[in-house]
Order: sequence, then structure tokens, then C-alpha cells
Amino acid sequence: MSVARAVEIEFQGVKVTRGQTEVLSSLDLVIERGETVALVGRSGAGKSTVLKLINRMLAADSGVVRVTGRSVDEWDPYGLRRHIGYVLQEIALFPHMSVAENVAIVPRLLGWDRARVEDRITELLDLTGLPATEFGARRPHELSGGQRQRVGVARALAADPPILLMDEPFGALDPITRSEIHREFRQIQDRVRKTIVIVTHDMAEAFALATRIGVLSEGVLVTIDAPDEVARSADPRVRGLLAPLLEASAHLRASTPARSPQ
Amino acid sequence: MKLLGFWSSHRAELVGLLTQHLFLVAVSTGVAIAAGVPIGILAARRPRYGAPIVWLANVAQTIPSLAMFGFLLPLPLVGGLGSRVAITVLILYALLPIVRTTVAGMRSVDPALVEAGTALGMRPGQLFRQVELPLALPSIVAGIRVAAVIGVGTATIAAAVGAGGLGEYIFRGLAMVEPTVVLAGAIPAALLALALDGTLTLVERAIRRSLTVGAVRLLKVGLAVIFVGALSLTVVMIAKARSQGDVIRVGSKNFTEQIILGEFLAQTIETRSPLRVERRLNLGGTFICDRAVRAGELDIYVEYSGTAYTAIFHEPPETDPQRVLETIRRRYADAGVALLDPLGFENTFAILVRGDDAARLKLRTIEDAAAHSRGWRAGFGYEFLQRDDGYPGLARTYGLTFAAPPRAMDLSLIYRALADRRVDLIAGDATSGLIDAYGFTMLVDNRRYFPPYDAVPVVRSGTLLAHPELRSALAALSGRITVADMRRMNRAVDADRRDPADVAREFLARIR
Repeated sequence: MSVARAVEIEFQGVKVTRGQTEVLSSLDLVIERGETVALVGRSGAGKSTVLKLINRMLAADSGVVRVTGRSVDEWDPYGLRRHIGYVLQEIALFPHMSVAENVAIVPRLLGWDRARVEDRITELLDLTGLPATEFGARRPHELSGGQRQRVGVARALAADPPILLMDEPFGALDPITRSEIHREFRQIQDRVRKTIVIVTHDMAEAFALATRIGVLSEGVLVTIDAPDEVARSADPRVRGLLAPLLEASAHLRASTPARSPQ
Repeated sequence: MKLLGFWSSHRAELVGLLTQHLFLVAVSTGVAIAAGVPIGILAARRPRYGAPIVWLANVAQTIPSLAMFGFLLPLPLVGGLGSRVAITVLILYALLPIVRTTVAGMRSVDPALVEAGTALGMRPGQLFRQVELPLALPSIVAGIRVAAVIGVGTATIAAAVGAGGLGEYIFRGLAMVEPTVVLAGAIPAALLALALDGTLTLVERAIRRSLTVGAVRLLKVGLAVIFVGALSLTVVMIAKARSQGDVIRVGSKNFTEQIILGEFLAQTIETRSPLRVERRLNLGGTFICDRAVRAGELDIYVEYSGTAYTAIFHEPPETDPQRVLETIRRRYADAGVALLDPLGFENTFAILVRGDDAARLKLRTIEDAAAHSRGWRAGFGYEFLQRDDGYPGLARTYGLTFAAPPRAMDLSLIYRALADRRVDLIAGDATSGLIDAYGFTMLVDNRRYFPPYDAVPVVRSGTLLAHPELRSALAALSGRITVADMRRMNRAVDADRRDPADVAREFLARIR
């Protein structure tokens, strides 16, 4: 590991148990600034637990989690969470607030003045393709799934946090909208350069977005590597997750020449 | 229409009662909100403390309102006659729906949203104010709506403890057996409930639809205003409760004769002594009047010796008037209440037959009638048929037998049935104005089966000590009212629709 690069998030021997079961067994993980890491695994593999350890929604039973060089136990938990953007599973926009109010939550918690909050909302909604003039006053229930997802991202980015955590962020979208959002996501990431940790059960999504992919199985990090390396892995737990992808591309290869007019 | 006529002739009074009604509901609902919402939040957060409170509110809801008034009357601060005890009772009834819906509202908040708020870095207080409370608010408002509607209904019973409100008409109408007057109170109360229900439904829907941060802030200000308002009103009421001057509080139960008797006492005190009088007439029955006089909320009202003997003191049957009076005098003295001289008439059960039958058969006593009753039909009230000191004992004492088992009839219809010859003998009320109106004859209870029901003023001993002039002023009424007088006056009010105060005034002018 290159010493010149800054470490943003670090897990050292982190263990979490719930009752008798080990949700996470001795995780060691280093995430560098500006990386997009996808954690892939079946449900119950411990992916969400990893995310919640980073912003201290959960506490480790043993081991240390460090964020920006400091153990999360030393952070004020509210300060830590405002320092980290979070996009939740099922988005969880507040139904009683407008789009603009949803996006403004963290800046307001941080005590920004009104003008700065306004400017930021406009900037973010424009960035995510939902012009504030048109969408700012709408309620979440008046938006499509994809639009809601973008508001969720804008809300997480509102206070310009260096870290962004995303828990199954695009799970509820149809495949076409999802690939559109993936493209936009990459464009946004090119501009904002955050350290991003995405949790997903979908290997295709991991390949589409991540610079490194980690595979979790039953609380154990099986591998974490560049997408190409993960694709070549012989580990059955990784192959299992890759299987649907391989089948799909095999279909494509088999059928494309017949239909293409080459 | 009769009803419209009544309203237009009582316009000022109607507005006053409506205002009183609204006041009772508004204050009690306000206090219930101020207390119930925090209790509900606590109950949702900490079920260990909350569950018993919800349980208590549940229990309170099941106590019949008139009984609740009776229980609370003697308590300091919250009790007493008038709007204070009424508001206390209404608060207790309003608490349950508000606490319940607050708990339900808090519990219905999607855990994912709570998690989202936490993940965004909200502190518990911020989470509560910005997420949980706003999302629970529509449900809380629904509870407030239910509480307010229940309040409008229950507040009609407040008239029984002298708190006024639209129940005044309902009770008055019931006492006079006059449906128009009952409706005059019941219809505005129903409309008020519907209007409140509609308005609050709209508020609830508006909140559900457009619950912006601004609206939440506004609502919070509203709730704060309600809280402060309710608190200061409570303080004012408690302060008022402690400041009672040299006023004699005269009470009565809620039927015509009692209201006339209350006026006798009040007017006599006003004309024959320098004391001021506060009228608390038309209270909801023996239980309320007795509790009130013992609690010091009433100074004086007229009771019937037999009622005190059996209903209040639960003494075994006794028919000697003197012994009954002595017993209740002793029992009342233990409670700090004194008996004055009986007024002279008795309001007992009256065994009645038509005047022409009495003349033809030369009937004077119940014993005389027993010789002819074999071919007669009889009609009695439901209670009289059942009570131990009612029909069964009467039949045994006089050997009464009828052609058919006696018919059970509503008291308001029984006189009519006798006049129409559908029955030949009834048990009525000795002072009913209808006895003269229909020319009935009341048969003498020559074997003294019925306990005596002498009308006698009961007064707080403390009041008598503080104002000895009271006794001498009221001596003017001692033994001056006959059964015939009372019947005539009851008839003047019930049949001729005269004002009880005027009827009492004319009579007092005559006996002076």
C-alpha cells in the first residue's frame, strides 16, 4: 500500500456479534481518499453493518474503526455523522418536507446561514438534474423513483462531506433508470471526488461504479481488489455472485452476432 | 315551528349557554392536550411508565359521568360545584383519546425515517422535533378531534353540577317532560359536535397534505399557546375557588317542584335577611346535592325525609314520620348538616283513582279501594313495580288484587292512562300538578305503608353558625306549604308554562 496516499477509513480487527451469531468477524479494511469501494454480498453477509460502523450507528464489540485518522469513539457521534453523507436503503426521504427541505437538513443542522443553504440547494439539485426552480417545492411523493433517488444523493452530499456511504442506493429502480443513474453517478463522482462506500447485492452494479470491489460472505471479507481481479477470482463465494453476470453476458455473446447486420 | 319560537324567545339565554358550553369544551380540551400529548409521548417512549397512565385514562373513561361528578365534588381545588368540577371531569374524559392517538402516532413513525434522521446527524431532540412529532401530528390531531367531540357531548351533563351549558335545556326539558326544550339544547349540541368534527377533520387533512416545516413551527406555537392558556386558566380557577364571600348558595334537584322550592329558599333569604344568595338550582339529583352540601359547595337545599332516610343513610324501613326525622337529624348532624323545620307537605307515592269512581264508591283510603280492586286494572311505574317498598309490599299490606297483573308504564304517561280509563288505579306523585288537572282522588295510606317524605330544608351547620339570621328568616316557611299548594304550583309551571321564580314569588307574597 502506497504511503503517499491518504487513508480515509480504516477497520482494524473489527468484530460485531449479535447474540450468539458473529455478524462481522475480525474485519481489516483500508479505504483511501477518493476511492469508490463496493461491498458485495448476499443479504445477511454483514454489508450494512460495515457502513453503520463507519458513522457509529453501530458500535464494534472489539477492534477499531478510524475515520480521517481518528477512532470513531473519539468523534462526537453527531459531528461524525454530519461529516459523512449517507444514502439509505429505500431512500427514506422525509415525506413531510419538500425536496429543498430534505436537502437542506444537514446544512441547517450545521447552522449554515439561510443564503448559503439556498445556494447550496440550488447547486446540488442542478448537479443531480432536478432544477431547484422546478423541483425544490415538490414533495417526495410527487417524484418518480429515479428522481427520489437523486434527491437522496443530493441530501447526502448537501454539506459537502468528504465521505459518502450508500446502502443499496439504487435497489428500488428499474434496470434502465438504474443504468442512467449509474452514468450520472460516475459523472458526479468525477466532479466531487468523494470517498465512497457502496453496499450492494448486485455484482453488476459494483462493476459499473466501483474502483475496488470487496466481497463479504457470512461476516468475512473474502476478497477486496480491483474489478478485473475480482472477476478472475476462483473463490466459490465470489464465483457465486458472479454467476448471474456471466450467464447474462454469455447470452449476449451468443445472440448478438445473429442479430447484428455485420 | 315550536322549536324556532323557543329559540327566538330565548335568544340571549341560548347564546349564553352556547358560550358556556364552548368555554367548557375549549378549556378542558386545551388542558387535556397540554397534558395528554406529553403523556402520550412518554408512554410511547417509555412503556414502563406510560402503560399505567394509559390504563388509568382507560379506567377514567369507563366511569359514568354523573358518578364522576359526585366523586370529584368533595375534592379540594378540582372539585366543587360549577364549571370547575365540570372541567375536571371533561379533562379526564378527553385525556384517553389524546393519549392513545399520541402513542399510536409516535409508534406509527416509519423506523427507516428515524434511522435516516439519525444517520444525517440529528440529535435526539432534533429528531423528535423535526421528524417524529411532525409525522405523529396528524394522528394527534385526530385524537384531539375525538376528544373535542366527546367533550361537547359530555359537557351537556355539566348542567347537573351547575356548570351551565346546553345541557341546561336538556335537563330542564326532561324535568318538564317537554321535548321542545330538550331539543332546544340537544340540537345545538349536536350541531356543535358536527361542526367541530368537520373543522378538525379539515385541519387534520391539511396537515397530512402539506406538513411543511413552517406549518409545523406554527402548530408548535399554537400548542405552546394552548399550554400556557390552559395553565393560567387553571391557576385562575384555583384562585377563584378560594375566594368565596358572604353568599348563601341555594341548591335544588332537577325537577319542577325542587326548582320552586329552591326559589322559596332563595327569595325568603333575600327578602328577610341582608344575606346575598347564589342560586345553584337544577342540579343532577339527590347524589349530587348531598355530596355538594357535605363538601360545602352548597349551603342549603330541600330534601325529603324518606329519601334522606333510605337513599342517603340506608336505614331499614320505618314509617313513623317523627322517628324518621329524628334519625336523619342525628345522622345529618354527624356530617355537619342541620335540619330546619319541615315545610308542611309530603311528596310521597300517591295511590290515585279517578274522582268520579271515588265519589260513586265512596273511596277515601287505600283500604276502601281494596274491596273493589278485584275488577280493576292497575298501572305503575317500572321502579314502583320492582321496589321492595313499592307494589309488592303495598299489595301485601292492603290485600290488593287486580283483574290482571299491573301494567308497567312510563311515569309521564301514567296519569293520561288513568284519565283515559285504560287503567283504574295508579301510583303517582303526591304533589303532581296533574292530580288536580285530571280531577283524581288520592287515597289515604291509612295503614301507613309508605315511608314519610316530608319536605325539609337541610343546611350546613357552619353556615347556620356564621349566619344565625338564616334560621329566623327561614322560620317563615315552616309548615306553611300544603300538598294542595305544591300541586297547584307544580301545575302552574308544568302545565301553564309559568316561570318557577314568579310562581314562588306570588306564593310567598300570599303567606307573608
